[in-house]
Amino acid sequence: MKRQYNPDVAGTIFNIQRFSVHDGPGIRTVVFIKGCTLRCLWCSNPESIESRLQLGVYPDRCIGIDKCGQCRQAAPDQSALIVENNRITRIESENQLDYTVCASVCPTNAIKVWGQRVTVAEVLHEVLKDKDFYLESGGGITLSGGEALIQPQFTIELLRAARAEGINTCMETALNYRQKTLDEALPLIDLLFCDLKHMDCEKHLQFTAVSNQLILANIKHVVASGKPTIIRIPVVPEHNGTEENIRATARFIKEELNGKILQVQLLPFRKLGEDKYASLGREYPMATLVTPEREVWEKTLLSLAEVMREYGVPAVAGTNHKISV
Amino acid sequence: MNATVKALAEIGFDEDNWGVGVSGVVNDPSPFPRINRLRNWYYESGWTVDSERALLATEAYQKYSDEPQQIKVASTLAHILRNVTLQIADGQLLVGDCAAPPKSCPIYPEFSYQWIVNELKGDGPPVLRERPNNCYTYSDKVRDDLLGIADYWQGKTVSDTILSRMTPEEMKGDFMGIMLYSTSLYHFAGVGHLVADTDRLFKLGYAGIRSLVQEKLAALPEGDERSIFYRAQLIVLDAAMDYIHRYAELARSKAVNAEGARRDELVQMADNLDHIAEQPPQTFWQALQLTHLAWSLIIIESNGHSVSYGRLDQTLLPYFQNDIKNGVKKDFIQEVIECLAALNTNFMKLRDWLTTQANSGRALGTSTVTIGGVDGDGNDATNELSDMFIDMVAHTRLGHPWMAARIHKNTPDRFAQKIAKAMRMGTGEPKIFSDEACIKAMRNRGVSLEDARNFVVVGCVELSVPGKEYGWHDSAYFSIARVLELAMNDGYALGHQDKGRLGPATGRLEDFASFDELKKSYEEQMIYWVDIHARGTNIMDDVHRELKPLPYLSLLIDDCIAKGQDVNTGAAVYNFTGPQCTGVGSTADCLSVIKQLVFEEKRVSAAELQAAVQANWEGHESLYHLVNSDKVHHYGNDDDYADELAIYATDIYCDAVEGIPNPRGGVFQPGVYTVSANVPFGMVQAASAEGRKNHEPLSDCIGPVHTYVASHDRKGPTAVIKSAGKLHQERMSNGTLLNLRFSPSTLSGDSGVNNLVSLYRSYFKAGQEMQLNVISGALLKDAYKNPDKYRGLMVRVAGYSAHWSELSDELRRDIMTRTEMSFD
Repeated sequence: MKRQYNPDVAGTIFNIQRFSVHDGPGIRTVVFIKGCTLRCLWCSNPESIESRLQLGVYPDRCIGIDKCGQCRQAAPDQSALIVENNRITRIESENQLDYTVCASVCPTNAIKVWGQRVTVAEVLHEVLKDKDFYLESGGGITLSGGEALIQPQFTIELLRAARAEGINTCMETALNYRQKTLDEALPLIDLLFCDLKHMDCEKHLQFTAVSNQLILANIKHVVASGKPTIIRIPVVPEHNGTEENIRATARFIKEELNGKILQVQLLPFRKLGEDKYASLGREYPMATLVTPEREVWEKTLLSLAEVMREYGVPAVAGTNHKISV
Repeated sequence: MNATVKALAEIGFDEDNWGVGVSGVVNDPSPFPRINRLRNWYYESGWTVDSERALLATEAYQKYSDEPQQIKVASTLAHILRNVTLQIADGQLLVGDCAAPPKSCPIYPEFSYQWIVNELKGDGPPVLRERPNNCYTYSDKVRDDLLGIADYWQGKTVSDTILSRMTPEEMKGDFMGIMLYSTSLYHFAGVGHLVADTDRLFKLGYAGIRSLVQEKLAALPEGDERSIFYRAQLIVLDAAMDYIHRYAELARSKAVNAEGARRDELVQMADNLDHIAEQPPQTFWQALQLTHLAWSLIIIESNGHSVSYGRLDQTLLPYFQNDIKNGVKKDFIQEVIECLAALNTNFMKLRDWLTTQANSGRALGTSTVTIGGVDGDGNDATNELSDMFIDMVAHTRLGHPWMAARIHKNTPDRFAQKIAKAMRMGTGEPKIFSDEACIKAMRNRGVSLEDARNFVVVGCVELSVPGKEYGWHDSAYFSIARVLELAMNDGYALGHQDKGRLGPATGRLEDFASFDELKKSYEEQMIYWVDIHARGTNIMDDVHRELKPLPYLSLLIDDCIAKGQDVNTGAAVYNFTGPQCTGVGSTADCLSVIKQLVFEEKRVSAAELQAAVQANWEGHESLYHLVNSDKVHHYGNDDDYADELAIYATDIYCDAVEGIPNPRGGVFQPGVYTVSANVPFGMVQAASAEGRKNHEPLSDCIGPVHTYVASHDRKGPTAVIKSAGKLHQERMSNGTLLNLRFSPSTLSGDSGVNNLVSLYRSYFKAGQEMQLNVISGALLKDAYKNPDKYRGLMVRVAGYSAHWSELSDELRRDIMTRTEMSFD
């Protein structure tokens, strides 16, 4: 029998999350691919941005060098471990990855490796554990990121593997890559989620560090191909959450995509991931942004969805609305 | 229907508007104003203790002291039924109390009395009416009356007699010793846990059953001692009929002063009651009223808990269909059903101070209604009434009666979704059961296929055959975590070394050369402790048979009348004794830590691990965090390494329990659930190797471990479900219980309903039962600070839901630490 996929292809992921109910129909397992081509200011997964493995340090989790000290015993060079107030605070070394041994002995994950090299077979083994739930609920696998297609060979083999096992496939992508890569993946995908972060090219560049030209072209291409597509908009106050941008987006969907999308999901921005930035020794770019209370942003999302529906765009607030493919 | 009712009805009948995670924190959830008024009465009135039943029972025991025991207890019940004060609540369509006013606890001195005396005096535990939680008020007169009968009961109770017969060996592991297990429930009270036969009652009425018993008596040869049994039955039958006529009289006398529609209702209630006092019911209203009265009489006779209503959507269906055909409005039947919830919620049971610390919530806490499932031929039996009972849950949100929904592979999707919508409200009701798994487990115990298909839930999760089983479910809590502790310490219990060696000398962990030697030690300790626990339980069984025959209950359980024998003597068709183990997750993780870190990775020596545990982890922080971290295999993550140890730990317990004979001609059968006993069993146990500190709760039911520093399950509900589904649940015929907690956002919307249905349908291929808390962590934290703000907030404790404001501090904290299943 011809092999339908190559189980030995390896890639770097930063998480596998079972029982995910917000990223496609039914109960799903989301595989988060590490690495991204965008640099969104509001990114809440800073560990997803670089493709390489990284070390994170959480001083708050450290129970005290005097009580434990296992990281010191394991470290290639103890002086690289910076301790303040008896807690590990960072690792100063050119070769961070030499210190993954510290993470493997740390009992509280105060030192943690972000990312994991895995093969397609290993990911599939984990994904298949919930196959029963996919079949009952209409769920399956969702590939996300980072950018799901930043390691195209790995992602495409994963999609092939899922297909071979009869598992429904979703992919969540920012679409900022060559159309050729996209065309290779598309036939293996049942439902595509793509982000539309801003319609204004300048602002897109300002907020995400890339232009939206390629992204918009790719969306048109995807929708024209007939692939069931859901557009997601993270609604960030003072950035893209303006009525002007929402109207522009709705016009684009109506005029350029002929309204042929399944759903537009407006997602709230919440200040998450601040501790992850800190663990990587980075500043949190949104630290000063004032975010409204839940009641306020819920209303905002509902009214922006209403605005989009004026254009005949099937917009909803949140991810709990039924998706009919 | 007037305008107000209509507006409410639009909300109340639309299951998509029931809310997600709102629990009972809503005002006036019912479309029927009468139900909302009765519900508000419940929330606004206090809890009390009543002395009337105790005084009447004492009078009768003195008056009939020379009679045979069966006649004495029958005459006592008759004396209570003829003299106790009756109540009909304003607006209620149903009657039937527990020989005490609503929200008041009757007292059963014949079972146990010393602890009540102690608590009235504040001798040891706090004074009953000054308890910090589960407080009940009473007048000085009630207190004096109750203290006045204390001398009479000294040495005469079931409890005193059991104690006088137990040897020190049978006590050392029980609640009066180190509490490796506890037989306390039936030591202090009646047994319950059953569903009576309503088929015969509906067919013959009490008068018809009386004729049957009369015939049996007449047919006996002269001098046959079974005549005593039948005479006792006639005494209680006459009293039961008189009791129901007394309610009819009361309704009629209230009608005199009532006006308009209420007067008509009371007159109709009186007519109904006079009719069903003797004759078979003719309408739904009469049939439900008779069901409730027949049930309440079992509770007045004996305070066993979890006396349940059975499959009301099956037993009442012919009356419902006939009423609809005769033009009775469905809304009216709905209203009568909701009246049952409002009435049932007022039944109370006094529990001792220690019990309330773990098993709190002021309620009778027992009666389950079972709905859905298959019929005797295996076909889907879900019907319109099944829906109406779910509507009752949504419209009353009182937590009573408990609701158990049976699901099978052909349960209609529409009904499965409705169940999910009710569950996600967050009141903890209904709990759901798998027909496939439960029937399989019952078949393993020799229950016939037809009877197994007709199973009912009694109490938390125990399975029973209605009208045919006296199952002694819930007979003891048994801690396998403690068995492992003794297996690691040569039969000594940590913190109790002064008591000497308590179990067999099976060696110490430090001396074991391999993990297999630890297993062997665990297996030997298990057999020893299960055996002596069974001896103690069987002594209790003997004492119940001798001192507390149940002539009324024996009318409604087959084959008591046919055999001329009391239900306590083994006359039921099925006779079991069902103890349940506690600490599955704790034991599995403890074994896993030892196997992985000590014997395989050799990261820590047995001596170091033992020293850390004995020091309550103080000075061993690094190891403490390591055993609580994801670097160790833990049960609940769909990880075969740890899950196989959970299977092993429970299999050894099942091996030891299965087949031990009881005095009623039946056998012991294992269950695996803790209800909330994981809290008190944790309280009496020193620290343990899975990362538990001294006195911290054990893992609950068949769920994963959650300690002060970490939840040991990290992969979400599908992983927990798969781990739990791997246990050999077909052997756990006394029931299993799986608690899950979700954040509301996970279950909201259409997709939330779909996902919840998929979760339970997947689990139910192997698992027996599942129940949910749907509440956000933030709300629980606020409710912890301000319990009074959330008077309607109900949470699932384990086999039951309770009002948050009623729970002890320990239990609230335990519930808060359960993993919230959300990746929002």
